[in-house]
Amino acid sequence: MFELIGVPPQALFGQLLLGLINGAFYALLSLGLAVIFGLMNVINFTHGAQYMMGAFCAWMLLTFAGIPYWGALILVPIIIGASGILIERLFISRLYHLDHLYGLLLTFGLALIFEGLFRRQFGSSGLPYTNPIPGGTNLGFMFLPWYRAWVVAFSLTVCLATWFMVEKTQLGSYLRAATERPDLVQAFGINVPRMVTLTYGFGVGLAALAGVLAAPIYSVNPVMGSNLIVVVFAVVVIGGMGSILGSILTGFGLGVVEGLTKVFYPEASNTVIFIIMAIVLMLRPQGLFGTPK
Amino acid sequence: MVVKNGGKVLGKVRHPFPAQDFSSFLLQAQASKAKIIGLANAGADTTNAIKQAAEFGIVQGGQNLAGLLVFITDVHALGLKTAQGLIFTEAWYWDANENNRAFAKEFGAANKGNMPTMVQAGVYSAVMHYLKAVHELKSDADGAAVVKKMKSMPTDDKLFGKGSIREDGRKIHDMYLFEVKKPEESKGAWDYYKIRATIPAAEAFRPIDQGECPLVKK
Repeated sequence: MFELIGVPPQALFGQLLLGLINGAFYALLSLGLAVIFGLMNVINFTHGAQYMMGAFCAWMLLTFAGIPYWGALILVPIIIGASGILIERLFISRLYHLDHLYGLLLTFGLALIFEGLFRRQFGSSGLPYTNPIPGGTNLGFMFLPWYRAWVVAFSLTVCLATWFMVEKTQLGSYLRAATERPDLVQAFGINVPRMVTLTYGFGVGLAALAGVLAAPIYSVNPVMGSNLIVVVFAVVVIGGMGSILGSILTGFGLGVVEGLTKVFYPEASNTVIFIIMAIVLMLRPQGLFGTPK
Repeated sequence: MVVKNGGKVLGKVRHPFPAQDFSSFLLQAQASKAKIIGLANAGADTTNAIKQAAEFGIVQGGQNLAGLLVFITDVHALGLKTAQGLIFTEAWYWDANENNRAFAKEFGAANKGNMPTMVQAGVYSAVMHYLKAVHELKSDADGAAVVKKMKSMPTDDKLFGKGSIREDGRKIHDMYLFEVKKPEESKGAWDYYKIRATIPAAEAFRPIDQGECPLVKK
């Protein structure tokens, strides 16, 4: 059957596996975005820039402090998450009473500022970052680098842990309640503004974590985030803006779809996600897993 | 071009522009077992492709990468460990002779230690030639006249030596085939290239009669 389509089965399985790996990236990034939007109703356009800052922070830790990749995995989300908390306290918190679009404009502006600053300081060619787990294994139908296998495993773990925390724990239930009725939840004595701030910091930390994961395999340059963020937004919209499980499943699913497109019609692999987004928005505007408003 | 010189083209694939992840395209290239994988892209796409090729063990597996538009700043961004063995042509290298080194030293002092690429050297050469042409004409008011003068005067500057500008506007000079050194072969910062061949100016550019330039009177 495969020979009819003109693609040997080995190539197909190889591309499917690669699609799954890319999907892991999309899932991790869209998770941060979905958490921020679902729990705070803020459209965080700075997400791409925070992903980029995560990668740069990993490079800085390596170059100036000698901290290797594994240390960076833990430190970078904390550092960039803290910077996110700062932004939230100083700027974003002032816009909660206004329309979504103001938050979008503010975060978009912040993204442009960060990217400009980094480009001025570091140039646009990029910085080197060595692969911490070089080499790989030949699976027969493709060569699988160890690092990519690690990315899938780690992203899946983080995504599932986040989903579990939000949907199944008491802290998660406070967060979800605070989104729906912040006044009532505050009346129960729970510090809602602090939870909101920490949620934003957590979402930003997830973006920075994705940045550290990306540093060894993608070029670390100031515009690495802006290329990815558009796709990630499409993933979140398709999955349903507030649904965490939706963004995880859609992230992986779209990674696979993109991988398949690369086999049959590579020129369209960038556009297929947006075609799907257009179709989903027309047929089911709340997204595949979202709840209608 | 490849077929004309006795080679065989085993496959091609078009990737979206810009692209972050080249793994599926590299996989196809790896499966084709071609000895050379040509990268007809530039900038971040090229550096990403080379970085990911190293990840997939393409160069270790015996296939070489050939970049069609690579600058020394790209090699610097990749690091020698990732970029070693990359083959490409460039028109100018800062460490090729004394004149180049002197220019590079001044350039580096003004630019955070970054070395000039063939583009910066070319701009220097072009501006010098333009100024000489204006000097001969004693005026820069008529752009077309300046261009005509630039094409009629032979070029001569400290970076490219003697050369000329063709009727269709192309500047003709030698091109060099470079290979990126292995980390142990490099003696210091920015010491990245070893020269594999010199392509003389007459061979390096498409002959004027095979182009379709409307400026050239047939």
